[in-house]
Amino acid sequence: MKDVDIIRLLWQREEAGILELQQKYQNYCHTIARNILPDTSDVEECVSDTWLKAWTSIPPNRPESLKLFLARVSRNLALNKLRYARAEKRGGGQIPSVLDELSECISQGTCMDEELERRELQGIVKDFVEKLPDRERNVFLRRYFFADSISSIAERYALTENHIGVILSRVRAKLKKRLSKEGYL
Amino acid sequence: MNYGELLFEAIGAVDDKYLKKTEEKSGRKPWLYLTVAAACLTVLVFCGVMQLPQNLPQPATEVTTTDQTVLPTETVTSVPPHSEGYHTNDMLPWYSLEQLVQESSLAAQVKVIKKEDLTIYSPTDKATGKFTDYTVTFQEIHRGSNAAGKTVTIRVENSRTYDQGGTVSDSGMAPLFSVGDSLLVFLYQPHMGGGFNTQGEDYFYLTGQGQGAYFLADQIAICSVFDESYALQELLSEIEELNGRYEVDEFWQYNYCVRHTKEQLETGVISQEEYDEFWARAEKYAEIK
Repeated sequence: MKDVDIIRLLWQREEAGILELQQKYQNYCHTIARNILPDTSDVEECVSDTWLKAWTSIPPNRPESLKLFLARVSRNLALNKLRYARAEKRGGGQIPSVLDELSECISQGTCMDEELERRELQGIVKDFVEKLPDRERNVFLRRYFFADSISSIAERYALTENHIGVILSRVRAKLKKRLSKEGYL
Repeated sequence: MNYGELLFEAIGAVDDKYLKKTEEKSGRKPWLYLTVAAACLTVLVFCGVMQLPQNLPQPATEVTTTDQTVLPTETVTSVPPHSEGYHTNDMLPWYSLEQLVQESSLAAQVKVIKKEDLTIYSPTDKATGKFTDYTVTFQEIHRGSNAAGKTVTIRVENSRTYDQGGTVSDSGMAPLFSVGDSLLVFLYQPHMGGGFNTQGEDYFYLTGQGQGAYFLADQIAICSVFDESYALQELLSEIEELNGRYEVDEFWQYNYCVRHTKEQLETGVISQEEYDEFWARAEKYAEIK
């Protein structure tokens, strides 16, 4: 079923919309959650929560891209679940290395109001990502938005893993420089 | 909160349009490369030097034997029959370090300080090429004249469109550099016209296209287009050793072309008329638009 039709079902409060969502995007959301969460049951729960979140958000929302809307929801839910799980253990899948790599770009010593920091960081990162060349941006987002593995990114863009590693390393260095300029180091 | 997490969360705020773009897979289609490479190989075997690329003459073995690893590199959206033969770059063979050294007049560690896109029109190929000029400063010279501290331009072709239709683009052999990159590069100058070669000696090409460039990071040299990496010091030692075996010849590419066309003429692979036509084309220069 086309995305517009699924959204229409959800707007009409038809439960068939959820079934269609599951059928079409189960694997997609599962992959995103699995890249972030270590525990299979957490992944399943996260995916189920994604359908619930979609049900409660549409309406009033009418996402332009249903796929990316679900990607964001799954990612955010997985990240929240990860935070709860962190007290006992770290994340699974790609996330330990993804977070370690990102930690290199930003100081652990900065102490600011967390909410303010969140908003400010979002603005800086958005601007930074927008200004990246296409290939660097794509590779960066596959790794740090979708938490894809290096090998799957290499396969996606028909580049070697070494090449992807070099691109990521260069973009992280740029991000670090940018954050440093903004007072984060 | 962990700062990696904070940053990961912040990245979640990027616009959908950029996320959508990441869903597009690479335009490179291996089956297509093979088809194009096979077609080009056939054409080249029959047409010999007349079909040499305008700016990168290749050794005879590259186009007349099939026992080497042939590396098709370009996605061809549509190539008119008249131009098929010009695509030797589509099927560059694997360059050994020995070949890179032998055919390069300069090998150096450089830093990219500027990049600029430009359009060049080739009257001989009747085609418009999209290029990027990378301005680099030399940091350490490993072969060729001492140019440490000097600034030069490395010209990289990205795509070309023929007047009669047909575009060759997204070359897997065209490396992508950014300002600030540290590289080890193998360079040559064409010293002749034809194809997209512009007049003047103010630019270099990478020997073997992307095979002649290595990204440098933490004393590791990583090939810009293939899955190859080396300890930098070991690579430099090998270059030094090879320098002892091969003297620098600034006109290597030009001299090769002279030798090769002459051989082709003498063995009857090309006619006198074709020979003359080739060298007449080699005297015409492309123009930057």
